[in-house]
Amino acid sequence: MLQVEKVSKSYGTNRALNNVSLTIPKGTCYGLIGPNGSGKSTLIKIISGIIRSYEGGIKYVGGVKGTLGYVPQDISLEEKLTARTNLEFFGQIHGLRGSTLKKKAEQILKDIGLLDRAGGIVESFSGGMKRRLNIGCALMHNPELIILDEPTVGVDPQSRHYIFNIVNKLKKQGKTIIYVSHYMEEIENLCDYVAFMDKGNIVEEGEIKELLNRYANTAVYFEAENPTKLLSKGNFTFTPYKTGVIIQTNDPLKTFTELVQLSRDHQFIPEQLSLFKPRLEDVFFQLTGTDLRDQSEKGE
Amino acid sequence: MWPLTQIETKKQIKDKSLLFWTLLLPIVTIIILIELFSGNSGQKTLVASQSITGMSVFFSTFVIISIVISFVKDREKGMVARLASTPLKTYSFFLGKCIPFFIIIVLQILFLTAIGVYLYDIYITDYASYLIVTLFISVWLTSWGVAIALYAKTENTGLVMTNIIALVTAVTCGLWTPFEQLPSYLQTIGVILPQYWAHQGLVQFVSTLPGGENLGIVALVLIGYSVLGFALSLAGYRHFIRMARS
Repeated sequence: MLQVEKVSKSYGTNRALNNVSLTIPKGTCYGLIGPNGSGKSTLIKIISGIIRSYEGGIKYVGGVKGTLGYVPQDISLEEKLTARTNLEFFGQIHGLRGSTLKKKAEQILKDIGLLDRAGGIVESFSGGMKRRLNIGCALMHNPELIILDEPTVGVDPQSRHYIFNIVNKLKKQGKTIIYVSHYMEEIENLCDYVAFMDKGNIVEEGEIKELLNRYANTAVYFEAENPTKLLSKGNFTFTPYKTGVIIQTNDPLKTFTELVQLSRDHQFIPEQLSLFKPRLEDVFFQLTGTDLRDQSEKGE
Repeated sequence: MWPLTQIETKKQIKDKSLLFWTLLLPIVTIIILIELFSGNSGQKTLVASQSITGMSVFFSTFVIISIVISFVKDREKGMVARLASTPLKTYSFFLGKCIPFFIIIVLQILFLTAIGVYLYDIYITDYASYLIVTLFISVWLTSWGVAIALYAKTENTGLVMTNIIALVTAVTCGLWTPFEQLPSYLQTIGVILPQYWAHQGLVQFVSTLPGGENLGIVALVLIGYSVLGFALSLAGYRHFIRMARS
């Protein structure tokens, strides 16, 4: 288990982290979400030992410390050298030698789908291939805690698929993963826990399923041409959402049935009628009043 | 430390610009100088002795460019930060990166000297002492290279600084022309610079050249300038590490 206890960090007058506390259970995938400048990178640099001057404490319980693999957002590789040389270099830094080193490099090359390009110069690789190698280098010493900072930024679908497979494989092996991303759907699909960061603070954290339930506005999604025409005939509270409307309700099944009946009665055919399943994006919106994607794009 | 030394060496071997600055350009320059300034075969050895010792010191300065590029690139692409998350110690990082450049400078000077010995009959009176001077030159230039690298904001800073150092010292320290032929005001400036002592240290052990300075004094001066380089590096390394990690 990894415990972040009241960690604060300032750069001059700018407070990057403000009393941040987190508990990351061993063997789980923990997502960190937040817009640019929210303090995510500072937090993971503190956890991975890159930033050593900060207030508060990081506690490792259960043998996580010492076996940490950090995958930076930047492609930090020796691009003039081969994929194999890069992997072997990071293996050697962690004390691997001889046949163990060679075997491990071979296995990682296979895992990241670059076995056939092992002798290729990294400079000639696509962005996605470099990202995969960037991850592979952090896995050479078989770490217990793996920190991935925006691992899918600017990658092609094939590489994204590989990266997801790697993360899922690590999860199956019981590794503890901290996954930082702008993409809510990635966090939702890959992670068990999530923490939302904004302006140096954790605005919410917890198990994703539990959070979605807690923040779920039990609702029904209704999409049709001129939906108000039909909805005004019943007693519904609704708000526009994407190309349709969200109907707030305490009993979604009952509302759903009422809408089916109302549509039948008025010979109205909806384009889409479904129980509304909230996404992390909706939770973030409720917590901060802003859309993460908009904030990130502004930041970028 | 050794994995870093190995990978840095591999990187530098693949770098064609380093090959150009450390070997191709010095060899071409030396040949041109010898052909231009030696009237007969008797003068050839004399001109070669001046050119090879002078150009060895002059062109070895350009390794500073490669040192700066290597450190700045590692800082900018996040390699320094990434390595900070591994068991690699900070001093191992610096040592591991410096060793290849130290070796490159030594090999460069020895290679250029070998050309002089085998092609132009330069006679080295004491190979061991010549090697000792070469080692001191290498330590001093590596320390300066690291010092500049740690304060450099971009790779261009290294390029500009190195060119200024190389050209100014070449003129004032007698690396292009015999020191005795320089105007006295230039000689006054020259003797306070390490390039003068480095050159005179090599000249001391080349029989065909007049002059040269005592090995003890040469060693003392070059150690002094190396200490200055390392002190500046020590003062700048926190700033470099902070920039790299934040």
